Amino acid sequence: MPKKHLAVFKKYCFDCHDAASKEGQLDLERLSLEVSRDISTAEWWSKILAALNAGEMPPMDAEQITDAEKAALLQDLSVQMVKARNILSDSGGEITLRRLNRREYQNTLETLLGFRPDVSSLPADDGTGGFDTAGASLFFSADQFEQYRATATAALKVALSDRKKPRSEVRRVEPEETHSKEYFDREERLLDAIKRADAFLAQDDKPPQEFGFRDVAHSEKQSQRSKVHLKQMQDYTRRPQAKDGAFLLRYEGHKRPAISTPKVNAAGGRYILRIRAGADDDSPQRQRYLTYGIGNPKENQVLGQVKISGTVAKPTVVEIPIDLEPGASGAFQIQWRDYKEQASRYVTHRIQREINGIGQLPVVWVDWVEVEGPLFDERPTTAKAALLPSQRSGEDDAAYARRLIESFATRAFRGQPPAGEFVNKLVQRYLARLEGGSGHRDSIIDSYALILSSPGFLYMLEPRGGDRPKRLTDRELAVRLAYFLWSAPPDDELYAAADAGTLSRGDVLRTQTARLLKDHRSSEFISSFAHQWLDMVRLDMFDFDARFHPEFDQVVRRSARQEVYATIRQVLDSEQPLDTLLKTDFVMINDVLADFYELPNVEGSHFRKVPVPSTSPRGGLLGTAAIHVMGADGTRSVPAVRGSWVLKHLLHDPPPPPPANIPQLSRLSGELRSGRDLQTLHQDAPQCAQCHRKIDPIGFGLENFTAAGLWRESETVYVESSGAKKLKLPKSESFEIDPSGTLPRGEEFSNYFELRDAIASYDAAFARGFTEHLIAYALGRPYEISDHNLATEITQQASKEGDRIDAFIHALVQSEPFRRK
Amino acid sequence: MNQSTRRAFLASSSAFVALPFLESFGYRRFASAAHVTADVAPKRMIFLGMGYGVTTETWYPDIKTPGCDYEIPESLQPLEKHKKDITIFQNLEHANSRDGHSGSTFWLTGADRYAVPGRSFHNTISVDQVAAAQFGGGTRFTSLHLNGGDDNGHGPGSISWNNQGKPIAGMPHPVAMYHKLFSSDNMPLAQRQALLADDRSALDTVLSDARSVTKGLTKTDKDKIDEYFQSIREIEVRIAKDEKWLTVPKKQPTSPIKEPSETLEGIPEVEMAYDLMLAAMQVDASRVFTYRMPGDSFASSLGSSYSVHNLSHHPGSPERTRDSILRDQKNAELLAGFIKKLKASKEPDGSSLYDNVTLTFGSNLRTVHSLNNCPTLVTGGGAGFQHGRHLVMEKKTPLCNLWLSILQGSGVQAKTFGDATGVINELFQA
Repeated sequence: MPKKHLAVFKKYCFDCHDAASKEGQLDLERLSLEVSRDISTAEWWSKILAALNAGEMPPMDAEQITDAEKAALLQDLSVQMVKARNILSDSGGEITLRRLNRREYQNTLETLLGFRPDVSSLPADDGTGGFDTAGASLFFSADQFEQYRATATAALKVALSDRKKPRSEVRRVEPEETHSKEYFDREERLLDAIKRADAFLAQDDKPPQEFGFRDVAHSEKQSQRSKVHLKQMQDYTRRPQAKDGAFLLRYEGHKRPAISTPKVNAAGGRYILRIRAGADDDSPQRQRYLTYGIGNPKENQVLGQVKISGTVAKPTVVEIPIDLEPGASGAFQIQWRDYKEQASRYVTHRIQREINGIGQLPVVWVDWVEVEGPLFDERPTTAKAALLPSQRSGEDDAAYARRLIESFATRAFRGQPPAGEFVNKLVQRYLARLEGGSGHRDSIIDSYALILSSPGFLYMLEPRGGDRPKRLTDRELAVRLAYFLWSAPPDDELYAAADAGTLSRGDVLRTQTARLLKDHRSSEFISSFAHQWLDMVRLDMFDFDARFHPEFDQVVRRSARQEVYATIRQVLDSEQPLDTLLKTDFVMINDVLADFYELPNVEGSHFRKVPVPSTSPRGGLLGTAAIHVMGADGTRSVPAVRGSWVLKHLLHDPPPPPPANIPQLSRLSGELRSGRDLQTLHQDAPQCAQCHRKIDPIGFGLENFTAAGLWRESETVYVESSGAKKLKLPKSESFEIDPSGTLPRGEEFSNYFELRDAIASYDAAFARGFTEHLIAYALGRPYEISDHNLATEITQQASKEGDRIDAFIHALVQSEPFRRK
Repeated sequence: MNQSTRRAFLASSSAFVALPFLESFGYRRFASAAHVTADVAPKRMIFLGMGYGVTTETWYPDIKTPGCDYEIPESLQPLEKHKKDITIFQNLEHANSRDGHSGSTFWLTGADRYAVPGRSFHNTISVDQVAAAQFGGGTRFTSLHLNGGDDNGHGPGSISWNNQGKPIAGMPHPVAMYHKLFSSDNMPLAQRQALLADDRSALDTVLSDARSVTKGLTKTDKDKIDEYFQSIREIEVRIAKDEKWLTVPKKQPTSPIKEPSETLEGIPEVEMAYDLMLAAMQVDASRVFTYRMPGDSFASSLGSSYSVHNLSHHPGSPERTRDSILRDQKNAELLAGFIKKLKASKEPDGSSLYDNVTLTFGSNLRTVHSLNNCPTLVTGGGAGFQHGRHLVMEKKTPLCNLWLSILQGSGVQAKTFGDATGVINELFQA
């Protein structure tokens, strides 16, 4: 950069960006004028260029750079940037050694041990921002060593367990004997409390304690509460089917008993869950679901949901196959579909009580539940045989241990033989244990667990043996490819290609990449990449208020996440262009979402392609509930959040992160205002308006979606007044939605459909953003300025192949940076 | 004064202020406190991190009433009777904090998570670990950490970070702390010694693999794998200490604590944690404690049906605001109970635990995502603070100034900490 521009910075920028203030960490006094000096310098200049281009700096309330000065500055800076990118693309982009993240650790253990172990005691590795594959951010601590060792030991104990496989059996539960009993018992207790209170209040001699009360007030309160709850119990017990089966219900607002099966066997295996059930004829479709999970009645992990198509008069049998990992504990638990939030359970119950005087009424009735299993496939047995081959005749303990340890360590180290000293020490430990009275199995578990806690296993080692970047060996390439697309180690075929020395050939590499993408294990890539790329952690962040969004419960939330993954999977598998994600004529949904979106004729819980007309708001990412839920706070839609999500993820024009300590929109709470009105008022402050005038209009264009992602023609705004818990809907007002606005490039839109079309025309920007994220995920380091040319090559190559998602992946895998260490 | 001289003056003035103070009355005392003799009760520190922060409107005293003459605000009402024992701060913050969902990750460190280019996460040593390095040598446990919360509201990792900026895992429940502190070990000594020796040999084994795989790695990769070596070394130090204490039986407090139930959740869980910290100090098992306090379960045991995240988003919702205040008040009540017990517990030299401890309660966050004016409440006489005041600091005063004040006031030889510009002089002045 010519020195003359320094005067411009001094005049307009030093107030905040000098050595003393360094706002946003930017010190223009010390920043080198040599843009291509190093990656960090170039990154800064790139940010400065973007901020000047977008008119974000200087801030509105500060003195503005004159047009002439700005033009000269931008001219020089742009030229320098191009040069810098070319210079730095060769030197930059060093990939830091990376540790297996928790997902990869789990998948790798699964490959080695033949079952999917519990790794929940390890840190999740996804809380540090960026992708969980970024080597530099995957740290290691003393606690972690101990956690790895303990996790591996527990997993090995399960894998090498010599307990006999249990025989499969069929066991049936008649829930009238267990589940319904809770309601009959409850009814009795409530009646008893009322009776005792009446008896106590009808006399003056005996103290309240004799009747089971603390004092008069206590007895009155108990009596009154019991009378209220009694109605719900009586409604249950008076139903004839309560004596033949059981209804699934949440009662008293928070109790949600489950129908439990007999306990499962710790050996895991496949179970068939059969449920004979029916739903109330008059009930809404979305309430006719039950969920099934594993654990105990109070806390269980929900495994899925199923819609009940039969009626109470004509129940049908649903059959659900469930695979459990060894080490599973507890029993299957069957419940009515449910909200995540306690508050939502409570308010739906109370709102119903206002209406019918009883409270929540049951919908799903279960005649019986049958569980068959466990059945086993060969997988764990083969894995165990490989882990524990028998001692050969004439082989002494030391030789036997050495053979096992060398073989397991070589597999665990992804083909790298372990160092002799390491093996010696493990053998010594093994022998010392045998001598100390431990058995063979326990002794080898100790050695194996240390192998699984050592750097050769935990780190993806790609030794260079020198300072200069080198091509990966074929084996290293196989490992990098498998962890990119499967988050798991290579399979035999991929190793074979590497060992044959052909994997580094472009055509073989392409064939293998295509094979890995078609394999079911690539679902790990889709879900992990999409989750992090699209910032989907926000999907779980907010509780929803069932008063305003009764349709949105935990089952919808889970399906909404799956919808995004299934959509990407569909576009990948059907070789459609990437921008299909921006606008398309189909949705990927299951029965839950079909009921939620009110789309007909979708049966079954699997995700399938369903065509939608062009007049439907659905189709593409903008039509998914997930994206809109993420742009809401559980009560209202938040146009600014939705707008900045679109800018960041679809238009590849990320707005700067909001400054810390943003003033709150809540200063206007208590007033009924439309979302658009509220957001626009927020632009009062000039420092906010700077970015929000670009962000908010996009959010306004999405205002036809409720906080839960349902379509609405007008916006209903509620205002909660102070005072006690409100159980009716609070005061509200309806506002017409004005979805019109302008995109950053100037395209005007008057409604959502025009906005969607306009966004779809940003296909090139979308592809660029996707590519940059893909590079970061695959290479395990943040996208850098030196990757500029790489990203350009990938998008150009993909465009030759119709912008198919796999074309981006092939182009990246074939590129030099992916194949270099 | 032109721009550049003004800046130069401002840049130097913070260091300027600290010097005369240190020489005048503080430094001598700090220096001598480092040599604790047997008959002087040791200094201690407790940091209680609440994650999603307080109800702004009712937690802070009226900003126009700095000093002694202020009214205890609604959220802190249960602390009324301890008004003279506490200091409430305003305007403390971490200049580097930007993450509105992290109440604990950087609370005790003040680090800039983006300080290292190319890394999306970075942290530095936390204030408790600076103290532990000096206070922890003579006790069975160098420091003790309880982790009753999930990442929700606390942020990733931990509340305590070691000298490499790596998280220190806390014990998940008071019951684990109870066993660590007071459970008697029935295993014969020889067997326990053998177990520790076995642990050492395990470390020695993995180190041999670490050494062999380091060959041929680049400088950056070697730096990365050095984390592994450092971790192993740290465990070795821990084992050495365990060996030293093997023959010393665990002391029981005068009024022994019963084994807590594993089902304790929320309010009783926090109460038990406080009791265990108290008991640990009574037997001098450790002098430094941190607690990543339970969030959702705490709110739920209050009868609130909202998660703490939603309680934090309370403006505009009377129900959430009410529950958020209830949460503050319950915290204040438990704290008041803790202070009372600290005062009642006598040290051998006649002083009370309260006189020798510095307890900080707070978070990096207050209502919604606000990272400024971090809620901060300090009590205890350990650092020589003059309490009973509402200290309204200058806007943007580094929270690290408080951490540095606690360190120096307690006799820890720390010249600076995080982005501290000096100590908070008012704390030491009547």
